[in-house]
Amino acid sequence: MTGGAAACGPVRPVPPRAGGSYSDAMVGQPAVGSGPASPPAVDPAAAAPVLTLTGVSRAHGGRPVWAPVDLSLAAGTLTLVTGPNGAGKTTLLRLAAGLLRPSTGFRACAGRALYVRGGGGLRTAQTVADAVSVTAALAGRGAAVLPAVDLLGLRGLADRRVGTLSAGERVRAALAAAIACGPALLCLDEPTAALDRQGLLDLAVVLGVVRGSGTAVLLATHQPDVLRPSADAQLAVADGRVALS
Amino acid sequence: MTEPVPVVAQAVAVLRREVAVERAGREALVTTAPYVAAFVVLAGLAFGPSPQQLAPVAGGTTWLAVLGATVPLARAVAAAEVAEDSWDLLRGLAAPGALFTGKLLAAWAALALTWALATGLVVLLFEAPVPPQALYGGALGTLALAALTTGFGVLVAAGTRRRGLLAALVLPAGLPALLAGTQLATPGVPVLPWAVLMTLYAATVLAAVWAVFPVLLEE
Repeated sequence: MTGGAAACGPVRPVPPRAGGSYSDAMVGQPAVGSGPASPPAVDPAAAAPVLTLTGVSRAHGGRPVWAPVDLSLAAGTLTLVTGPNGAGKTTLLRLAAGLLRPSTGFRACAGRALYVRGGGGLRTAQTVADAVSVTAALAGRGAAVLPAVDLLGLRGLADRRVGTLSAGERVRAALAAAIACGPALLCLDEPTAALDRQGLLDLAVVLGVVRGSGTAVLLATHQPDVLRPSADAQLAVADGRVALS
Repeated sequence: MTEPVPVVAQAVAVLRREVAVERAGREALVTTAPYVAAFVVLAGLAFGPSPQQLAPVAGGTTWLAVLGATVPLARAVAAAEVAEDSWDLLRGLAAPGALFTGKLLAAWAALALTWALATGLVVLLFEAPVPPQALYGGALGTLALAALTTGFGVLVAAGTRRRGLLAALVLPAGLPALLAGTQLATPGVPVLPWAVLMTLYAATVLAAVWAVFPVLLEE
C-alpha cells in the first residue's frame, strides 16, 4: 500500500485440481447442508494469477471511486471484499469481471470471468433446470449442469420458476448457473444478503468446492464473519482506498 | 477449464435461451397478437371502413404495425435483462458477436411474426392482395428493423435516463424500411427501386450495428 495504491499481493495461491474438469471436481461433493466444505487442493508452487489489476482505477462523473489498485488473485482462492455502502465494492467486482473498463491501469484475466449480483443472473420466467441449462450452454458446458444442480441442492426446485423462489433459493440457483459455466474468476456481489446463518454455512461449503476446482472467488459482503475463516484474504474498500485488511 | 466456445455455437445458445425465456413466459406472443389485432382494426376504422378505401393503405398499415412493435421490443432486448439482473452474466458468457447474432435472430422472429400477423389481418379485413415482392420486403425489412432494435436495445439498457425516448428513436431510424416495405406490398408499384432501397438499407443497418455492437456493450 504505497503511493495511494492498494498493493494487494497474491493471496494464498491455490492451483486448480490437477487433471480434473470442473464437473469432475463437483461430482461426489457434498450437497448444500450435508456437511463441511472440502478443503481445496493446495500446491503453491503451481499457482498462477487468474486476475491481475495493475494501477487500476475507475472514475464516476470524473471522480475516481478509489485510488489506483494493484491486485493479483491466484486460482482457487477466496477473497472477501468488505466496506460500507457506496464505497465502490460493486465497481471493483464489475471491473474485475471485465464488465467495466478501467479509467486508468490495466486488467488481465486468465480465463472466463463472471459477475453475479445477489440472486440475479437468471431470467425469472424460466424454471431452475431450464435456466441453469441454457446458461451452461453458453459456456459449452452442458455436462456440468447436473453436478452443479446437485451441489447446490436444487433437485427439488428444478421445476420451479426462478421468479417464484425465495431470495436464498435464488442465490443458490444463480450460483449453480455460474459455477456450471466453469469460470476462472467468479465475482459474487452480496450473495450473503438474503441468507440466514445456515445459508451462509451452506455457501461456505459450496465455495470450498468451487475453489477446489480452481476458480478464484471475489466476494463482496456485509457479513464476512462466517466466510472469513475459509478466506485467503480480505479487501476493505473505504474512504477512497482498497486495502488488505 | 474455460475453453472458448465457437461464436456460432454461442449465438445458437443465445437464441435457444431467448426461445426458452419466451416459451416460459410467452411475453412476446401474448403482447404481439392483441397489439397487431387492435392496430389493424383501429387503422381499418380510421382509414375505411369500406374495402375500396382500405386496400390502398394495407401495406402502410402492416409496416406501421411492424415499426410500432420495435419500440417495446427495443426495451425487451436488454433492459428487461438488466431489470432481472441477468444481463451481466450473459455479457460475461457470450462474445459480442454471438450476443448480437442471438438477440438479432430472436428480434427478427418477433418482428417477422408481427409482419405475418398484420399481413394476414389486412388480407382478411381490408381485402387487400399480397404481391410476391411483399414477401421479400417483409423478410429483409424485418431483418433490418431487428438489427436496429437490437442495437437500440443495448443503448436503452445502458442509459440511466430517458429510456423511453431512446427506444422511440427506433421509429425515425426505421423510416426506410417503412417506405420500401409499404411500396413493395402495394400492387402495381415498380418493384426494382424499392427492392434496391430495402436491400441497401438492410445491408447498411446490419453492418453498422454489427460494427458498433461491441462498443455499445462497453461501460
